[in-house]
Amino acid sequence: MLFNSPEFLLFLIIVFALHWFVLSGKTRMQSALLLVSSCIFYMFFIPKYILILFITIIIDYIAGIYIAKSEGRKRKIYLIVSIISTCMVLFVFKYYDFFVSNANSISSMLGWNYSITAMKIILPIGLSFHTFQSLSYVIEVYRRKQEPEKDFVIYSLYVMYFPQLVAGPIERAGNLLHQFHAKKKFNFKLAAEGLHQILWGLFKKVVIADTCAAYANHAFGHYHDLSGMSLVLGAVAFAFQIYGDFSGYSDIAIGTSKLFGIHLMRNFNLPYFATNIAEFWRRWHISLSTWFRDYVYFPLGGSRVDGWKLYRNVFVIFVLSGIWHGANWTFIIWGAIHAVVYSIYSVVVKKTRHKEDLSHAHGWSLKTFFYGLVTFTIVTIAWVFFRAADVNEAFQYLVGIVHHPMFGSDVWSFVNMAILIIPFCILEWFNRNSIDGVIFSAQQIKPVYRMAIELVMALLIIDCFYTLNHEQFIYFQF
Amino acid sequence: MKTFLKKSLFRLLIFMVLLALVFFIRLPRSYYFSIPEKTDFSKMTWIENKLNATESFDNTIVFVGSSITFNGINDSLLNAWDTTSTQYLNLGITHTCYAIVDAMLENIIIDRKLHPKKVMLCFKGDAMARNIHNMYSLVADSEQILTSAADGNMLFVPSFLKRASWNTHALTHYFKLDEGDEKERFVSNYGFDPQRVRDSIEVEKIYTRLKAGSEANFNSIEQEAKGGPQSLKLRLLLTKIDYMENIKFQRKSFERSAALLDKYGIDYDILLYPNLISARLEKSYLMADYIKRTFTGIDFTKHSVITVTDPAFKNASLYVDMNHLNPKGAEKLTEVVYGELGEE
Repeated sequence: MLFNSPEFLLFLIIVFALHWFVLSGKTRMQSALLLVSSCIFYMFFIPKYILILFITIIIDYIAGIYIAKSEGRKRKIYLIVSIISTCMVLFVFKYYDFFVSNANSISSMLGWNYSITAMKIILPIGLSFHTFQSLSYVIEVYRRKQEPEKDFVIYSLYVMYFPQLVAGPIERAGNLLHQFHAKKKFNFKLAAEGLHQILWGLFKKVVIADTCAAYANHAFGHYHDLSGMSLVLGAVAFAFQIYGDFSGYSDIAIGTSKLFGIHLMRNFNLPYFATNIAEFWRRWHISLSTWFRDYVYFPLGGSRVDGWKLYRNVFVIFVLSGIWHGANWTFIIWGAIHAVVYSIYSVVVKKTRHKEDLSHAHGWSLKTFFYGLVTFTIVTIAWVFFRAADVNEAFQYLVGIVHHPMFGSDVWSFVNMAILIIPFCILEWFNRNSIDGVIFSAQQIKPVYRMAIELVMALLIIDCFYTLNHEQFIYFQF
Repeated sequence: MKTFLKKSLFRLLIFMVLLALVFFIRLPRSYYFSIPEKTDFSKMTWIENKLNATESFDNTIVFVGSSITFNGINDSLLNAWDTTSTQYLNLGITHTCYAIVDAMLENIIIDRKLHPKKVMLCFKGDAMARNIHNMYSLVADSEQILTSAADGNMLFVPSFLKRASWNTHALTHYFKLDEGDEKERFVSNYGFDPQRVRDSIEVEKIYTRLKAGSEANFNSIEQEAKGGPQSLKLRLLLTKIDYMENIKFQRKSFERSAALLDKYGIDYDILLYPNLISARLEKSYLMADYIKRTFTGIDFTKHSVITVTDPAFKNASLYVDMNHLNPKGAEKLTEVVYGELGEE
């Protein structure tokens, strides 16, 4: 069931009505309802895969309890068992075939007549997201920052909560579990904010991302024939496609959750207005970058280590982040590019004592605009690897930008994209101080104007929903 | 909670009013029919252009129906064979349903005042076309879409929204990349489009894979024809087909078309296509009986239901799949139909 489908709208209305009208005041029943709804939501994809999810849930639920009960070596063993078994599921479904194809290539290169058969299984939807969410729980319990959850329904709901089940935000137990236990009272302001955010998310996905997808698909599908400028604009189209797609999904997830009185963490905070790469990563997919920061980067020493270790740490988290996205060299190179740029940036900061976050908090100047443009350019170049089918295609695409004639008649069809992108950036800019990225809070704009803007947005959503090809949410595959 | 619901419903109401306003905007037909121009449904644009250039249909026999008509009746051959003043025109459209045929006939007969000599209403050999065509909201105008709700169109809401979105698209297409092909796909002088040829072994494989479904269609028609109590499973299946797959609305659309033709005194016959399974089972009469039983408003003493019983159609070498004929099959069917029309 996709967020941008009529089935989801019907599903949401039914769950909302049951939650607030039938089960109002019955906290445990409300949680049970959300869990059952989450199972139904998940089973719309491949029903039998819910068993995999339940196996992970059972292992980590039991591990959490035993880790909390035990001391010393035993405690560590339970943690390791839990991490290995959870990661094993991820490895088998997501990375096994990638590992096999690379092992086979190496063995044939060395002249060994040996090959392993790939499994070619379909990846369970959102596997990387709920795996990381489960891992964060057991690690937090191990670190004694989180009490183990004894209620199996609540713990299952923590892993399976449908608004964020398939594409995040990757929540922390500390933020979510207590909310499931708390008695819920309908909060008008929160629910209204949720609806606004759902609308904004749908607009980003259906209007921005799906429109840009057509341009990006055209550019990546015809990169041999297009002029350099068209290829540049095609890459920009993908940058906005992936932003609209993923941040749109996050907005719908956060907004949906608000309808049930539950706050999810903010996942995007205007990343394309970042003026340097470090700031970009504080604004892009915040739940994943903070996950890597807390569970990988800090344990490795973070930025408190000296010399090569600092760069090693940077490379480890970015390459891991690339691998997290998918079993393909394109994602690994994408991560490596960010690692290189981040390392260079760290050196520059150290040498020049350059202040970070020159950006919009203090207003924009020509200087910050220039830094923003440089950051966006680097990020967009890296997106080429993310989008390309393989590394060769990514290189050929980038070479095409330089080697093909810079302008051709094909550029004009790409320029039309600006009619949509520029007003979208202006909207985002005006929206920069709003809570949770909700479009136009009551303090910013008169309600009547807000309603007018939202009506136009809703009309555009209907328009694009029926007249464009629907693209699957990109992050579902991760 | 009450305030939340009230405010949400109020906004929804305002949005519905806005949508209705957009829905009722009537843009030039040339705009709507330019939309399928570079898609799989470019035959629609072709038909619109053809009708614009037509002054009279008085001597023309037109064929309406789905891809089976589009790829099965070679109107250029009919025109070549017939040395009288009668002309033949294939108006078949890929994936079409009777809702579109009805809208198209209304346009031809009422709006354009073109009265064909005869209309051949063509049916799939083993069942009615299911669901609503992607382009229904373009061919049908806002009044026809609203009427479709009364006729039981279960996809009324998407049809309504689609019409509104095509109207908005007139403004928003500037920022959308047209992903269609460079050229119009259907450019023939006639309405016929030959299918590609497929190896008979491949066709037999498709037949083996799909025959169970087609047999089930025949079985349910046969069981219904026998009368008597229907199993719960069959009743549920028929209800599902009637409503979920919009067959009831299709029947209603077909009845409307027949009534329209009767009202304007235009002759029509019903042509049931051969398909591999009906030919091999020799059960094409079943669908003919079904039509006679179902459409009680039609006077079948005046209008024939033509079934194709030629054993040649048992041969996979005439087909590209279970239902669609290859150019050789189309020629054979055209010959049979020409013979039937001649007999009349």
